[in-house]
Amino acid sequence: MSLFQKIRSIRFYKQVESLPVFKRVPLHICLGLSIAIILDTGVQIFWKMAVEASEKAHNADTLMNLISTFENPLFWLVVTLFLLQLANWLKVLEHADLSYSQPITSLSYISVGVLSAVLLHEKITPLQVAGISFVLVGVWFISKSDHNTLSTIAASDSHSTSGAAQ
Amino acid sequence: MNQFFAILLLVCATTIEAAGQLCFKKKSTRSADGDLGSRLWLAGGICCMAVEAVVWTIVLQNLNVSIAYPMGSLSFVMVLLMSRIFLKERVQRDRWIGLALILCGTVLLGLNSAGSNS
Repeated sequence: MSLFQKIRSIRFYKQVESLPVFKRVPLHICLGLSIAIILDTGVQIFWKMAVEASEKAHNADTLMNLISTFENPLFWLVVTLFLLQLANWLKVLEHADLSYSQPITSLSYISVGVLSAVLLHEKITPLQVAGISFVLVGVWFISKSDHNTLSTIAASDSHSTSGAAQ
Repeated sequence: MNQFFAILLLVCATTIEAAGQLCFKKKSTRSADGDLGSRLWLAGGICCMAVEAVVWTIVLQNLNVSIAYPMGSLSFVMVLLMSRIFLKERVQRDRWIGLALILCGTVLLGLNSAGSNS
């Protein structure tokens, strides 16, 4: 039994899961998407922190900064979070469409903005807010179109049809 | 390093990211799993991710993460273009609209980073 199944078999989890709020979007998908947003945000914020730490040590030397960033424990944390994110993302995609999940996780553009202002003291300007808004609407547009155009168009390509059908 | 060069590197990173995704898609659509070809596509995808990590670190040395990360959505645009060119996927009208909006957003973010000089 996988860890995921174990968690779903806990009685408390089952009780929460049966709440009417989670009728439309099941709890485990909500959790998966929240975890995806948190991990995405963590990767970016910790990565920037690792870079800033090495900049303090080596000033402006790009190559030295690069090496010392990769040696920073914070960067290992980034790699770990990234792998966790990959595993979580594949899990989410087993239960929910990519076109549904993608725009929701792009909310991490907002959380990264907020956290970078709070933790890294970056300045957020109105122009930047406008830019992020455009990106969010753009991602939504890309995701709302059909998820599989391969089967209709590239039917001549025998490889692609067999793969896309799964 | 100036902001313009950093943004150029960011565009490189998103292109590499898209190339990596393309490799993974190529791997996943091969009929026989585990043959040499599919392993090569997988290796290609992983190499792309490794190179991207280096490029992205240099980008973060020069740009605020609150600007660089949303600009990274350019990778969606690159994936769209590459999957049209190399995978011959059909691109629907809504996706072209989304692509245009992301481009607008990215330009605004780019202008913002060129204006402030942090």
